Amino acid sequence: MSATEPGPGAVTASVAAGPAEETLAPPPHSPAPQPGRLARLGPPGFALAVAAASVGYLVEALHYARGTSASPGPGVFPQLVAACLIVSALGTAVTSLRAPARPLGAPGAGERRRVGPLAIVVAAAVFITALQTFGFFVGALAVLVIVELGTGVRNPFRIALFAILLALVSQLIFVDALGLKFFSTFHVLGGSL
Amino acid sequence: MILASDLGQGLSLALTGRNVLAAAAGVTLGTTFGIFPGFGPTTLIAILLGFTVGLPADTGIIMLVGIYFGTQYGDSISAILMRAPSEPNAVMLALDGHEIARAGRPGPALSVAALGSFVGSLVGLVGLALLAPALGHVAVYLSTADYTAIAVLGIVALTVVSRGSWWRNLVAMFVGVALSTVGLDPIAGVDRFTFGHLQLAQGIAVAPVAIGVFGFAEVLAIAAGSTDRRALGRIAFADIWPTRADLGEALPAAARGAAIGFPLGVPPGPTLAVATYASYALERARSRKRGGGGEPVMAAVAGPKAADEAAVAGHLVTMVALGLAFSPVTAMLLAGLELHGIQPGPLFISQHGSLFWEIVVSVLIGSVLLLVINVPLIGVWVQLLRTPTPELLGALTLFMLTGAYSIRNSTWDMWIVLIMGAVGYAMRVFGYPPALLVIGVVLGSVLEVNLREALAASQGSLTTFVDQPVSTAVLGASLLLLAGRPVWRAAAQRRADRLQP
Repeated sequence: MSATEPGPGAVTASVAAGPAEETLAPPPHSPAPQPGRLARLGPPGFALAVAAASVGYLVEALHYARGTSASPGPGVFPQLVAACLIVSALGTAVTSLRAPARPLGAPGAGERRRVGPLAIVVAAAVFITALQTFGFFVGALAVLVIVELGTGVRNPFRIALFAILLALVSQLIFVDALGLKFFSTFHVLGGSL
Repeated sequence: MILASDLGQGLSLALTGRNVLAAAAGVTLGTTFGIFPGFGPTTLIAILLGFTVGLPADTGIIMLVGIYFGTQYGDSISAILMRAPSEPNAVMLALDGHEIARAGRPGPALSVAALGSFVGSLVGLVGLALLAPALGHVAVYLSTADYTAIAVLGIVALTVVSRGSWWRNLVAMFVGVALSTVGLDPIAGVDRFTFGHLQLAQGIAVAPVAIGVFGFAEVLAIAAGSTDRRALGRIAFADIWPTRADLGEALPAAARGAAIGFPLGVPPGPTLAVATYASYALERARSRKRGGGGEPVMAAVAGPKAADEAAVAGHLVTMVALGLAFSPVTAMLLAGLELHGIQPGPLFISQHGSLFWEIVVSVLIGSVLLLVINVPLIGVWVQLLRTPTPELLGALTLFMLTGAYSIRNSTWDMWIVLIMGAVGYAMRVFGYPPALLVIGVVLGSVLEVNLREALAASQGSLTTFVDQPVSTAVLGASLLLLAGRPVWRAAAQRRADRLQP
């Protein structure tokens, strides 16, 4: 079963909730999330990472002039913010270490799919980089195809139909009708032909 | 009497078939696009501004106002159903509103939001027509020390009153404030944290950050399977109406929200978010006072929504009377007026009196159409959001990136969406409130500019913040909130203990 195909247990849930949840319901018999190593060490670790980043921010902020109290320079405020950030992050780390470990994530986090989010991040990055070279239409096609594949759709007809239709409609609305200043794929292709 | 005749004149001009049609088209267009996360009022007005260019000035402006109301309501839909508001002022709807929707009552939550919007617009309209000169006059006399104190109160109140760990709230807020320092220093003009990148010198705009930590993070969460969309179930026509108890709770809250929102909307600054939060905090506090636990309440949906609309009317006062825009939305409306050759300012009402009253009436028409068109069609709007998950994720990713690009025609803003999306997702996983990060970005620049200007004006004397009555009172309120935090938490713990079997 692919990650997005609902199991038998999901059917009941989808009837109650509507078709939109069909591909979202967790599979049956998925174990309740238990506090693991990430749940114990993740929160203080994350807070310490924020503290470390804040130290980096402070070091950079120290490069800017502090000025005087009557004429505060560009460095004063960032240094003040960095100090507050470091103290808050350390406070968070300490309170996280004292608190009992709890399962991480938003409610409903039964089974996590790792491919889907990664596919979306990749698709977004491809869209942004492809936009300048290949134009809006090709960029839109790429983002839609990558997201469909990454979220478990394997039907090539469904992928192609959806991607071409939405990319075309988006091109017509955003580029041709609303005049957003994207490179138009058709313009790029026309120029090269 | 003059007011009545002016309003009558505005009504007769605004209620032509063409203008009403333009308002209806604007509301529908705005809602259709506004329901998708990432497409907030500012972005959509920017995108749809071009639609009004060929129209006569009054019709074009009425359509813009309609688009504004539609996108505002569309943003409420995505905030309540998907917890994905596009703009900071819709953040508060994503709290109790989303919880109510998840509890199986999305229709009433959306109806109450529309009702709050209507009440807020109505109160704001009266304020705009009656109190504009006086309130505008007072706002002009607020000093930089006052604004510094107001920003400090915002930070303290937001971090103390928000749910969850105070430390985590502080971290989220200060990360946002730190992001606001990226770019050209607003006073000395020095590049900060740009690392030689020209795009970073423009600073980090609020909209891409909001689209990232709310919209893109939501898409990632849906893809990870960690967000359920139970609230997106079918909403039948019969299920959209609030109960009498809901109305009894929501109407007074909306009136309170509007009363908070309008005066807060008049002074320059990012007061839309502050107004919505002030109303939210008030309704949560009232709920606790009545013995409620942490359960979501309709009052916390209607109040912030009314505060938001009334605060926008407050912003319109300064926009019309001074020709200045202090929020992204009014900046876009100002751009719309200028597009039609109209320059608001001190002489605007005397020179374009009929147009001013037409704008006032168009606000009324927009809010009425919102109730007449959008509320009965809640089920239809929700259907748009019930697209199968892979297709929805693909479309939302494309729309959000396109929306972010449209703000400044900058690919850099799309990268910010991507990065802030990852940050927002991590914040969700580790229990940090993304809303405070976004508000931190807004409050950060206000705090810095006013703090430095206040110190410069007082030759470096810190007593400037306690010399003036407004700043003294506001800073006193901040200290009281900070001092009361342990008492507040202890009381909350006692209540929680009492609820234990």
